[in-house]
Amino acid sequence: MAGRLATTPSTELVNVPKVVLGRIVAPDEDAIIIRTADGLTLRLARFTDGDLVAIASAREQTLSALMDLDIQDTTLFLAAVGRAWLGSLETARTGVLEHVSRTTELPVEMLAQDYRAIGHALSHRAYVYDLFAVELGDEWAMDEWRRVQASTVRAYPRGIVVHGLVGNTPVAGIASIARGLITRNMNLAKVAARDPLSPMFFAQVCAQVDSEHPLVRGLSIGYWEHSDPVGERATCLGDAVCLWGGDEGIAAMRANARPGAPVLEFGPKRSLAVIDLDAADPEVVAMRLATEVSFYEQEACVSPQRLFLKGDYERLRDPLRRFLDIAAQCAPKVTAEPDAHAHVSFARLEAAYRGWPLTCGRDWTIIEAPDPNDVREHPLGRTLYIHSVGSLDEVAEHLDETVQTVGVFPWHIALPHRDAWARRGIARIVELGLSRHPRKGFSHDGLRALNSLVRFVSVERPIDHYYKYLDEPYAEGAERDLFFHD
Amino acid sequence: MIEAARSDSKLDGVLARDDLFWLETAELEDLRFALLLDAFARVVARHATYARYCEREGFDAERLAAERTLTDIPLLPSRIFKHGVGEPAEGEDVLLTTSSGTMGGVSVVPRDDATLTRFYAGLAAVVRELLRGENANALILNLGPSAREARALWISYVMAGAAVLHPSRSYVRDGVLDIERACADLLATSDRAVVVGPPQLLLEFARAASCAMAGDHRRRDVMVVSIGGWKVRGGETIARAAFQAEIASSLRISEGDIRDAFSMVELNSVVLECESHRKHLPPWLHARARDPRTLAVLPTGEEGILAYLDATAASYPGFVLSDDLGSVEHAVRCSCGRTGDLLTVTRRVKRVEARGCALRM
Repeated sequence: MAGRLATTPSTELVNVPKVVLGRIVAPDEDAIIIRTADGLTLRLARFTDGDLVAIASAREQTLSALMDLDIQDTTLFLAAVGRAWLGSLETARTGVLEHVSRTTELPVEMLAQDYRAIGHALSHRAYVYDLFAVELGDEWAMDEWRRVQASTVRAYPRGIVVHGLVGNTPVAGIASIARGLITRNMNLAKVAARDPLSPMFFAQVCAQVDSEHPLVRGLSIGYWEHSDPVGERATCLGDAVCLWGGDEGIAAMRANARPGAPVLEFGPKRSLAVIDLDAADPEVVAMRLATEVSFYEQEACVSPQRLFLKGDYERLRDPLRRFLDIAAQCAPKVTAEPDAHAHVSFARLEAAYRGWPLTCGRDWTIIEAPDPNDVREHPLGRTLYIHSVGSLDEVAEHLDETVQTVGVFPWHIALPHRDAWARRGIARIVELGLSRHPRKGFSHDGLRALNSLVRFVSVERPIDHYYKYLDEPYAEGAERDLFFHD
Repeated sequence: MIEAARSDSKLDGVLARDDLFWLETAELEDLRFALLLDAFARVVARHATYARYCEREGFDAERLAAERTLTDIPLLPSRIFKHGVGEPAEGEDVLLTTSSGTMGGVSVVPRDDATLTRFYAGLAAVVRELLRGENANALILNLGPSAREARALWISYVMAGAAVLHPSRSYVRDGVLDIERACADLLATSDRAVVVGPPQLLLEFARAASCAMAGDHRRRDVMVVSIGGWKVRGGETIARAAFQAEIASSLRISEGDIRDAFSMVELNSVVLECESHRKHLPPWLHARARDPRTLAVLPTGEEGILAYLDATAASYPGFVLSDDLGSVEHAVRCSCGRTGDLLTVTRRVKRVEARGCALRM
């Protein structure tokens, strides 16, 4: 099992390999040691300049093989990976998931949901066709020369996509890599110290399905410390760069991106909920809202941090408390980090000082703050600020481009407000409860990500093809005016 | 008013005592309780918002006097001061002191004359006790801006504050450290020199001074006091042991002459290390570590969020839950011979942004 993730839950030391061009490499004596707050030790293989040289050297040959694939090849392979991933979940629940829970400090129950979602998404080949249709304009965009006005256009992989991943939502890391795979790029992913295991587990499953598949041979995953110059050189290799996380991490990697390489940034963002309780069942609202507030300990950009509420909060208070308790029973807060708890305690104390009504469970906090502008910081950690509004028209002034998702209930309240809210800079409006389950056609932080991961190559018609702007050939003199001539 | 004036004079009398760090535990605790009981009553009388907070919490001076539970005094989270709550009422004559803002947002703490005067009195008491006597002819070399240039930045204000007690020179002008002039002054003085500054600048100074002293084998009476952040550019933390070893070797002094001092803008006191490198809490300052999840008071030595009760703050409630993690050892006899509570500040609470892709607003 050398080079494989240890999967015994009682293991206090986990060896985390790296993946170089699909080959899984165990940590050696130069490994990087990370200790979690609850005492788990991770021994991570160090990503080196030698690995980067190998990736750069293999670029031409690997990309050539990747460009020989078509959408059927890629989706059949990823569907097989998805099925293998789902099949391994039983093992994972007693192994990797336990360890991922300890590194991410997210409950196993939450992670299991995330892992199942990953498996299902990969298993459904049609999703990739749908995604291509939306984001590249055509299901066959990478396979055939498609007529576009007076040209034919085909999309090709950009080359190497570098990913800077975060550890707060395992699904985001796998989604980032999957985008690189379906666009037939080589991929180099820098895992987060908080979750190095999920992307490695994905790579292992890929290799188990077919270790010689071009998508696997183009896949490299590793970890390096912020101060390690190998990070600068790795980012420099990217023909496109996908960055996830907070301001500092994104800024550090963005600075090293090569000129001309598109940099796609996902985060940091915040989300919120808008509810018209006069038109909704408090029990339904409470269940959906409690789940969203609890998931990922609110550390995901899709997690609502505030609720703008029209209607009588008294009708929602008890159901919301009950469902937050249910969420805490199903997926109790597991973090041992004092910092995460400290921020919640600061927020509770501030509320007490300011005289804001405060309701607390063991794992959650509700603070009724009359003026949204008085709330300057959010502690995350299942904390919901509730702002009562007389009219939903009041919500727009509290939105800006830092807001990603507005979860509304009932859904129809979005329609009269979507223009005003969109103009303020938000990225998505969803039905409350679906922020983690984007519907087909959604945009991600305002982007169509696949568009930046391919090169569109056009073959344009010759001048004797009139297309729709000419009724007859250029007059001889006019045609000559396009060129230098004597 | 007479009551308040009497309380003030009690505090001022305590600040002038020269046995503050040598009291027996029971006497020390009685003194601390008396000072904080007075301070609590004064703060409630002066600050209406805090008074309403205490009322909601069902806590008042009578209850404090009866139960003698200092740890029940309602706390303010230090982040309150970043949110404009610490700003003074109109017409109040105060200096708005500020934090550096490295933790996201600048804290603003209003200090009136009485608060600043007690800060200096407390600083003098701490310095004369722990830096071996106020009457020594010490020259303070301040690797920070002068009080005038420091203006309201509290940590610079604290460093410059030593100038009130001793002849002092400051070596940061327009944000630039004049390291050559500082070295020249160190070499020129025949008096005791106390070099005060943030750890990173002290290291730079010591390296330069080591070169300047090459070939000069005279033994100098130098003490080094670090104050401020232990992080350098890039977020790396300076290792304390390596710092002490390098400073001692460069300046040819004993590691016992290198002390760390702690303050923060929401605190009106400085906590200084003794020769055994332990931070002794002065009698007017109470500190306890709190459980980060429940804010319950933790037993001696256990690490949690540090909470302070400072009796010298008048123009703002000095009852603050800090952004720092650390521990307090209760009623310990230190190897330096003094008895009291010992403070260890471990690190700042990490910003939430470090944890995911959520923007915290």
